[in-house]
Amino acid sequence: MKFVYSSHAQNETLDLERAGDDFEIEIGGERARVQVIAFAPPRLIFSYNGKIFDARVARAGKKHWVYIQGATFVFERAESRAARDAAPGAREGAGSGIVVAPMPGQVRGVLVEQGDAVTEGQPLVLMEAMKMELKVNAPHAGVVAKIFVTLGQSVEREQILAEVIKRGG
Amino acid sequence: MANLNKILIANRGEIAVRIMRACGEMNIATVAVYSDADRAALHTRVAAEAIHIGASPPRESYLNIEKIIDAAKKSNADAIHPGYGFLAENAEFAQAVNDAGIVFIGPSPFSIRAMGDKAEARARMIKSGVPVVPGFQDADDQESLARAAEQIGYPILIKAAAGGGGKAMRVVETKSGFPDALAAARREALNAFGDARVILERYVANARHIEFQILADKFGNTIHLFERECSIQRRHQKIIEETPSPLLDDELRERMGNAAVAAARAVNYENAGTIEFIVDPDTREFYFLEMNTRLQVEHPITELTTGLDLAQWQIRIARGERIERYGERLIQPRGHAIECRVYAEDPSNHFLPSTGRVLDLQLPNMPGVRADAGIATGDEASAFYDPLLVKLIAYAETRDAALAKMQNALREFSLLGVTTNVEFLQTVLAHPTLRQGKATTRFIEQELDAWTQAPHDERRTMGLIAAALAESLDKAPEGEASSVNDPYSPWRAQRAFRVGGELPAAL
Repeated sequence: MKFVYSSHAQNETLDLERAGDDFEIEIGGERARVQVIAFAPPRLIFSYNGKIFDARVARAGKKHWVYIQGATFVFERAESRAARDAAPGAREGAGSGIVVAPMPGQVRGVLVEQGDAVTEGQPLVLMEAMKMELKVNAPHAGVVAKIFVTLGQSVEREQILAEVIKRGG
Repeated sequence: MANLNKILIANRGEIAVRIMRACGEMNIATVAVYSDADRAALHTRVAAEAIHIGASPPRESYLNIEKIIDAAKKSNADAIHPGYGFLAENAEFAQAVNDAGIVFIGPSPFSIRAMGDKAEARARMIKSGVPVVPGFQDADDQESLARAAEQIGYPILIKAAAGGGGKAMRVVETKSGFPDALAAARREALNAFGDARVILERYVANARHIEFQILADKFGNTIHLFERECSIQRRHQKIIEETPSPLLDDELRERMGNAAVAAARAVNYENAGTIEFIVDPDTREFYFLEMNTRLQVEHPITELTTGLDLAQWQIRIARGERIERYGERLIQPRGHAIECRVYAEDPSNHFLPSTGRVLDLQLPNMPGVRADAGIATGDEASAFYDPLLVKLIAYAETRDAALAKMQNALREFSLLGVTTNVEFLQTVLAHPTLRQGKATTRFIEQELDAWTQAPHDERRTMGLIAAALAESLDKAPEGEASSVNDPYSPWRAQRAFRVGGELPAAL
């Protein structure tokens, strides 16, 4: 079975097949035999090419957290391209006027209104989390097409805050 | 001596848990207070009693003096311990606690006010022969502040007048950035301390931040418990502290220690407190920065090198014990201690806060390592409060040994579910500037600002394999035929299951 994970905007594909009690794995063009020694979540002990790894694993939604050899990773199960494009918060390159929350937190101020003309870098929304304030700015000059949040609202990271449309675009 | 049988802890997170443990060891009952978001937080579970005091925003709960005092009365608490942050350095709170006939575990409202009011503190320090940084705190209107900033000269530091601990601090490089930075600092100050006033200080670049721990009893005995170096900071928030400071020699240590004791005496200080200095590493001149009239986040490193339990000493002083037989001559610090603060933040996303549920927490367990945690598996890291999750503290005979131990402790530390700064801390600990003991307060912004997680690590590949294995073993995605859908499959068993025989003996 194929697994596609993304982390830090990098996609990684691996193929995992049962082979008796073991697994056959292919990643980065290399094939190897993996033996699961113990699986008692969050602990996962396995051997890869004869070397034993002691990992801790946990899952929340699409996010897979792994601690292994002193490092912690979070991998997101990549969706199909079509599903991702349709998803809210999808950002399609630099031309997009969709402005998303850079961190989870509360909306402490909505600084513009729908229909306002804004300049590049102009603050749109004021956020606060863990006693820290952050201004979320317009990615480019244009007109505020829509504000998606209200004062006091709690937002998740990557949640859409506003949309700024380029003039004539 | 006052009888303290029950103490209410007006705080949350790791410090509330830390104080409750100290109480437990002294056979003192504990009362927790909590907000909506903290309904089932760790500190409410550690305490014998827990009282709800309001909604999640700090202003409606942990900063609400009336509700906290009501909770203390309702639970018949003899004393209130404020922890750090929130109301810990609020003189009106200390006064209100005293007025309610409850013991405030900390200094007098007079001392808090004298040190909290930066103008007054400054005048007293000068009178006591303690050097201070050039600054301004005579007025609080925008016009006066802007003019003063001009006079002191940019870059300038805007600080919460009622604050401390690096919260609500902004560096302003030029005049044009002043109005915005002032407005932001005011809002942060209001939320963190319930007071929007600010002061200005000249921003001393490339300085070292070195502080001295003070203990003072009700009988005029004031001692210092040596220094803590806290120069490793990001956004003016300490992330790594150590003692002794690699910068100080015995001569400078003695002069600064004497100045710290003089500073505390100048406000008739009682209980535990900390005198913060900045030190110019080139001239070796030091300046009084402020006094934190409370227990510090980084107090454990002093505990490890002096062998004293500072949280317990706060309580002992409050109930009227003397510290004289623990005078300086009897306290010889030993070895080296380092603290790392594990924050819920993403160093590869400009250190912005991260939130979420802790899915798994594994604390290091090895000789010489202490972990003070404010959360456990299953708990939520909320956007309402401070991002400090866990403090790891390592102790060894020498600095190098303590650094090695801390690196080892961080390797064994695992927190899944919330992004933390652990890997960043590893990078900092391995950095030559830190190894040489030369880091200043600008070290991180100067040398590690563009940090990102190493993308092509071999461990990452093994991590991916682990994720895929866990996913296959756990549960096949819906709609996909797989042997793991078999309800009788051993893969569905809740208990530990091994394939391929027993663990090799080497494990």
